[in-house]
Amino acid sequence: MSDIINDNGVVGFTRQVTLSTAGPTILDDFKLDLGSNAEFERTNHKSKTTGFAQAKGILKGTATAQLSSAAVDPQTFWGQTFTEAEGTFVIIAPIGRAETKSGETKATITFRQTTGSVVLS
Amino acid sequence: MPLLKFSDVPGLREAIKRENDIRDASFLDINANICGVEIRQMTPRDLLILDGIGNPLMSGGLPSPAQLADFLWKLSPRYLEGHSVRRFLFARSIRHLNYIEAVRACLNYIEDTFQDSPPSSGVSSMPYAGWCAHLICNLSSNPAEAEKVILNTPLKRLFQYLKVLRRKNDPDSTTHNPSDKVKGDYLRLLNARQQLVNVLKRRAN
Repeated sequence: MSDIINDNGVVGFTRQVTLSTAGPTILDDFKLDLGSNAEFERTNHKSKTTGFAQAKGILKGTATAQLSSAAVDPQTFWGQTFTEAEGTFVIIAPIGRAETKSGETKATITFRQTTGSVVLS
Repeated sequence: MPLLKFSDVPGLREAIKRENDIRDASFLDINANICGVEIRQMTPRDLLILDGIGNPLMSGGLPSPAQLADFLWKLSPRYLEGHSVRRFLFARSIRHLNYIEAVRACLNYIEDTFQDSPPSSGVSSMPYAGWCAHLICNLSSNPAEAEKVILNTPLKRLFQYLKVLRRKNDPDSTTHNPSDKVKGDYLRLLNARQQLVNVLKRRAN
């Protein structure tokens, strides 16, 4: 039979994070991608390119959050933040519908790196 | 603590190995052993019959000795439909079976069979077709042709196919494993510890 194929005892793509309000949470299938860069072209009055500027994209990711109980509404994760080695992330929409099996509930979440904060009142 | 390690969660490595072993074994046509009685891997056809006749084992209940014998007979590699002599000889051969141990083994067998079955989203809709039709149509583009093969393929394999197909169609879809229970217990312990720390901090202030 197959053995577990993971080096150094690390569970592949699974992370333990601490959400700002919900506390410790396990994220399976943790995936991070650098978002596409934004490129701007500068042109003269004849629409001829005279230069360009490029803005680096920001990190975006998805994961499957394991909820501590079926009573936890994953929608309450919206706006919560967590910090990883790659940076601080904020959970954004879409957040998937919770699915339960054998007493364990999971939902997919989407997040992006924070670049600052705005407090709305 | 970014990456979760096996050493962080007691029992996780063993749980993952166990679920992987069950998945691999399902492709080798290995019979299960219920207290010395050999039974085949359950197929959708078996499930239809056992569920249809209301065998209590299919809903986690306790069967009568006759229902237990019927469960084992229907899944026996020696099973032949309508063959009363064979059935009689089979029933005689298992009459000294330990009831408690056999029921426990049957429930474990059913749990292993359904380890990769689809989860529930809690959203129910009016049924418009049987679960076999959904299973067959999800696994084949030509249902009428694939029907017989799928109905006689072990459920353990079919559930794995469904999982792979689901992930293929939606890379961000959730997947459930029996080892989630071990991680869930660990998570609940962490949360309880965090709550205790918060209470103690509030009291100290």
